[in-house]
Amino acid sequence: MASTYLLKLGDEEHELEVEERDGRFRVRLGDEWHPLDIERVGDGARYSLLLDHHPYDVFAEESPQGYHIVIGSRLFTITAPGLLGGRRRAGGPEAVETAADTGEWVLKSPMSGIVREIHVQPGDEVEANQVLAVIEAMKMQNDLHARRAGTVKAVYVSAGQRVDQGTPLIVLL
Amino acid sequence: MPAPLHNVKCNGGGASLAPVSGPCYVPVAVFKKILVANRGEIALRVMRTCRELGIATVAVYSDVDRNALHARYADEAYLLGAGPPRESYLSIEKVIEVARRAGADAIHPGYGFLSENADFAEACRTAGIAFIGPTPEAMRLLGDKVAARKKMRAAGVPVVPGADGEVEIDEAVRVADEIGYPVLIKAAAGGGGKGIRHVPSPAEMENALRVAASEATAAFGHGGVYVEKYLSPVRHIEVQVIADQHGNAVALGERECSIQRRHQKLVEESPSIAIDEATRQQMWQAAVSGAQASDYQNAGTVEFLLDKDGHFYFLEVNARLQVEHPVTEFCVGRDLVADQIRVAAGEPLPYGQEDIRPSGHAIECRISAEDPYNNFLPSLGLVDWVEEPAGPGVRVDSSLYAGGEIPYHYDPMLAKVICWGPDRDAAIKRMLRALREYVVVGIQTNIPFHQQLLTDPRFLAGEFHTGWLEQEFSMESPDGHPDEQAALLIAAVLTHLRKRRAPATDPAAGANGNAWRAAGRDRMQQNRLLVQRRRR
Repeated sequence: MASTYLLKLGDEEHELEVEERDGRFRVRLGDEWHPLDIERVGDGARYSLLLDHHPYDVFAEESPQGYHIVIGSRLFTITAPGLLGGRRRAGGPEAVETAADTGEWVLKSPMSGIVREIHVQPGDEVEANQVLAVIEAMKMQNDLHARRAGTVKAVYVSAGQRVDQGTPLIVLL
Repeated sequence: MPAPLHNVKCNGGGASLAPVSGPCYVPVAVFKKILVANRGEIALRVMRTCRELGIATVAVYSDVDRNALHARYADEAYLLGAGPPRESYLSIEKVIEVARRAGADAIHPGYGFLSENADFAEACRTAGIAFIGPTPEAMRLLGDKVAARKKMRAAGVPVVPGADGEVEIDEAVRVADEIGYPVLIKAAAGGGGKGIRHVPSPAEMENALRVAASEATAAFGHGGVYVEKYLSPVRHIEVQVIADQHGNAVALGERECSIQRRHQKLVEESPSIAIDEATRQQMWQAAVSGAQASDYQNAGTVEFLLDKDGHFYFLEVNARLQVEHPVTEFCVGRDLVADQIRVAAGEPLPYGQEDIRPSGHAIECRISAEDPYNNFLPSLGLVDWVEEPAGPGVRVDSSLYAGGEIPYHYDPMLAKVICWGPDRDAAIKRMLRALREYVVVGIQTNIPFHQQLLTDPRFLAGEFHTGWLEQEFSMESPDGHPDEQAALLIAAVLTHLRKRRAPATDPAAGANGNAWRAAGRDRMQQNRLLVQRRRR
């Protein structure tokens, strides 16, 4: 049984074909077929891989859109557009939706920490690269910049507040 | 008072592959119980030596560190307070109170936190607890930049050309003209890179002096400034010293620490390949003279700047054990913490300068929770999995463990890898081998930075200075890494297996069900923010 999958790493899409026989795999990337033997180690997200007979220790975790794969000290984030369900045409060109498409841009905290400064309020016009907020973590003060120019629609946090990684801080229109 | 040591000669010891020079001594009883007033890898490192010496250990921890390795390793552990350092690791009262309650007869401060706080050393003395470090008097002297400079100069240690004390405007301008521009105006009460002003030419001097004085008054409560020549490019080379209470001081070799970002060292090695044997001997001698002149006791580091003509100048003394001390331990075959404990107990140093014959080459990489591909932004969160390097010539001092949360209150440095080899090339190759073995899942680390640095031809040739990393080194794009293909091939197989699971039923069902933890993982995909950082 051979199946074809579209996977995206960074901005590039790749077509891969998987063939399974007796629990072992052959995977085609481009013109080349690679024998691939994958064994789960323990009951976590660790895998032992023999790829073209080269051993790899791999950590692979599933996300709704794809996978986070760690090999050595490198993290590879791979999206599998076909996983998003039947609403999308499998194999068709598509991108994972981001808030950017709606015209809004949400500044999320890139780390857990304490909000030290908020430099804008709703209604303010900001320029690209302008410092919007300062988050303190690990004795460092980190300036958070606007990725583009816009108008501040909302400010969700105030100075002194503890925030987690990914907490929405400020919304730009 | 601590019981005397039995000095027993032995043949081995030390943490190194290098031959051990001179006799080593096995203490029978020094202190009975040592409180380690620190956290992270250094707390663990100190406790390990204590355990080897048969000394009980007391850990202190903040409420976010309840599960930290140091709190689990110690024989006893006591809560200090909340996560912010001021409420826990920086509270002199709380640490002393725990030491009393636990019956500790000595305190090791590690580095950072209270380690160079003279008031803390004084409080230990008042409480009748031995402080494993220099006296409060030596700390105060060396903490005063002008006084330290005068003392070093009097002891024959070369200092950066400049004024010998605090100067008024007229005198400052005269000194600057004499030594030549550019110059630095430094606050007498400053330190750690604070209160320094760079003046490129005479036209800006008078105004800069006025601003510097008022800034110093505001920041340090004392407006005194002095003037030094601005040397650039320079290397940062430091000498490890240790001194006992009987006037003996020994230099344990130098360390090259010029690989820095924002005044933070990232890689240290010993010996320095930038100095010849004559300069090395002069530098060691200068460090010993400086330590003796300031009545220094215990382990400390005398930092020097080396200019491009090969002249060295006193920078400052770090009056504590340093992060990079294992580099020296590897080369001289001594356990510096054990020696610190011995001299703090009043024992004479068990070796003299003639016994110190460093061997081979050692290098240290500091592993931090920072994303090298995202402007070295701190990377916090849960550590899912850790595998640390091992094997010949490799030492890992680490605070990492699977399931551990990286708290945001403290320094991002989580671990150190130290490698020894018979020469620099072998040590670097061994380090690259070790870094390849290091796996940390869940947070980003700066390991890819070290891997790129250690293969950079300029680093390999030793052609760098303290500004080199920030001015001339940049991270290569992570795209196109050889493991990209493997990642894609694995993802294809996982997708294949995932598709095969019953699509309409429980998405967590199937062979890999337990592993799939989608929630909370999207952080890795977040917008790459344009983030800049600065030291507070």
